[in-house]
Amino acid sequence: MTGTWHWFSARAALVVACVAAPIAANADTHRTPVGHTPEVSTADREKAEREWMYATIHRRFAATHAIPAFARKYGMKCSACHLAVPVLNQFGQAFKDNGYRMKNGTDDLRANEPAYWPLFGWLWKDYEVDIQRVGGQTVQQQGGISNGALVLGGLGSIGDKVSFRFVPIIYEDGNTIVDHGWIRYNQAFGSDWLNIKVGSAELDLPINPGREYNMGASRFAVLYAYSVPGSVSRFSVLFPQPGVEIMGHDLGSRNRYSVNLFNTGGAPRAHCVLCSPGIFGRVTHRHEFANGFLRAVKVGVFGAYATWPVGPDTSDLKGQQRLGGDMELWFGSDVLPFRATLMGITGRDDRALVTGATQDPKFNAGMLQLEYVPKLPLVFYGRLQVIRNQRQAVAGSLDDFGDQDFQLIGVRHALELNSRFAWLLELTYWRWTIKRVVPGGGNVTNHTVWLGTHLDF
Amino acid sequence: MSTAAVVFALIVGALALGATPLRAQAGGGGDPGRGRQVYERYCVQCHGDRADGAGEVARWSQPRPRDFRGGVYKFSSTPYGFLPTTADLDRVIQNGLYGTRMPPFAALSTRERRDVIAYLQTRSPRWRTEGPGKPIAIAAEPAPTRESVTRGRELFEANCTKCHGDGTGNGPSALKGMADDWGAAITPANLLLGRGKWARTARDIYLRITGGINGTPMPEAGDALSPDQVWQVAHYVQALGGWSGSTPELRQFAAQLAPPGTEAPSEPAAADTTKR
Repeated sequence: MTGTWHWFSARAALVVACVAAPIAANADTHRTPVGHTPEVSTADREKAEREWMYATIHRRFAATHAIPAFARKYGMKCSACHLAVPVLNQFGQAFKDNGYRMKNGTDDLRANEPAYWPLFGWLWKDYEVDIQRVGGQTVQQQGGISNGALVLGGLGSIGDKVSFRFVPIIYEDGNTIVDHGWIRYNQAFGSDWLNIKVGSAELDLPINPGREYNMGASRFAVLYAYSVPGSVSRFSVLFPQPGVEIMGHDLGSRNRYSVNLFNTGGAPRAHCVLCSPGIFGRVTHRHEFANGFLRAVKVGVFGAYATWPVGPDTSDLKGQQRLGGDMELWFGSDVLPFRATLMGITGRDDRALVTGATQDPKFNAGMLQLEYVPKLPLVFYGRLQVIRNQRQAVAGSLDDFGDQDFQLIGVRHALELNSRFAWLLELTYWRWTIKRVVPGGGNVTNHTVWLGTHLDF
Repeated sequence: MSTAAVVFALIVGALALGATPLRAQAGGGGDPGRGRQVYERYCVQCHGDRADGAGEVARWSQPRPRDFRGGVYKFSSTPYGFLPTTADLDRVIQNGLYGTRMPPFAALSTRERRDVIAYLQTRSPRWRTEGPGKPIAIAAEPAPTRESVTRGRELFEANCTKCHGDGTGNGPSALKGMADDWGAAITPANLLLGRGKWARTARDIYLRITGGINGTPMPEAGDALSPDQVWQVAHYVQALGGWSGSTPELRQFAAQLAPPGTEAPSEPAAADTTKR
């Protein structure tokens, strides 16, 4: 329990202390122990929870993409696997599903030059301007160069059967966090349909937070990271979860499945080994058309059920469920497409996870993402997200308390994109509104312009 | 409403900036214009912007990436010296070439592969003056037996050891050094690995023996071997290297035979009983 709490509190303090976003700058960093009754108002805690969550997102996913080590190993451009770095195309998806192997006899390190080692590095820096408006009034304006970071990670296949990933991130302020860490056994019994991964691994989400645009600010992930107002649970499908993943796919990864059995990340572990079990699963199918403007359609369904311990001795497990569906449409070209991604998700939490709750809270959320790649190093994109609380945990709360709207547009260009490194520039604007969370029932809206550069090698 | 306007403006602006006209469909159904896009994404790093096999990483590639300008493709189902069929090119793109830097591109859509093939066919004037060769007719495969494997070993001894030696590619010619038509040093295949760059089955071995490998010293069998004899060699290689489809019994049997190039076969060659 002590170790877990130290780990958790250290991470929470770390991320809240270091993020430049204004909403985080106003954060209440005095976190209450999870599973215990807070001594602050629901609204204040809601605000702090949200700030912590997005600060964590900002940290964790700022660097979770682009693996030049693979380009070096296989002698291919980054664009072979990425529709536009870091978003995977179908070839990249198959490569990932194969355990980061090409399966052409060159995956084993012994088949490569002795000097090669599966290490990679990332460096990034960004400038951000934020304007926060509350109830229609500007309450804060600030900008500046954010806290940069260096990532020196390892990822790839060691033998033909074993793949691994370990990614520590070192920030300029001296803090270090470890992103994913896992080992995978590839092709059990010789079948692509059975691959086993052990460790802390990302869940197979439709729009993968670790491989999306907004290289320095993954606020797009509000939908995944959302928890109902007042919830004590830290569970989110957005975060890597410690456990076992079993996944499989056909040749070319047009049909895939994945199942994760995990112990909910960050949960207190006072009374048992597997204190807060959870499960996540997803199935996808991609269909390609031989002719016509519509090139391909990918559809998927996913669901998660996770538990979180509550009560004085954290022995009472309470559940949260998430169900969703998604569809990708590829238009015009497989290589330089116009892509639309639609996703819907619904969630329901046990009322015991929310202090003072009188009913199980429910919410619905949706996302629409549009991307266009007119030529290889250039991509335009836009994203809409809405979150609507269908049933508030506390009866009598405003219907739209905690609802969110998020809109984003951006452009990314690669100044260099070769087999040794990638150098990216990105300009993004987003607007993010959280409803009724200030005293008096006003909305909080953030307008942010973000300009960043990212070097992957 | 404002959100919708922003998104609409984004889409329209992006389309206007990036719109490129689609070219007319090329022969074979692929579009070379779109094929160029596929090529630039997946192929250019090795095969080069001019399709000359001199891409950015070509210097570190062994064997060297293919130079498409001459229209010479090593692996095909057509006789030596002829252009490959579209299916041949598609096979290499889908499966890759094992043990080389050419990975399998099975994840590419049928249309992407078709387009990039159409583009490759614009890179050599041969495609404008010649059609693909007629695929080699493959005789019905007889069941492999001890006798056919033994005969195959004899034929291997007589025809293949000069380069392939005991099967590992250590023949006298190989030791002197060999080069392909592009001047790159090459080595004969190690047949004991159980698969080749292009070949996985006895049928694939049959095709390679019959058709040879374009641009390399590996000749076509021509009239030197009858179809039955080609199958015998194929079955011997299959058993010797434990290739897909070989039986444990024949693998064990082949292992007991003296390696080619060392001494006479341990068993006398029996009459050919593999004919159906």
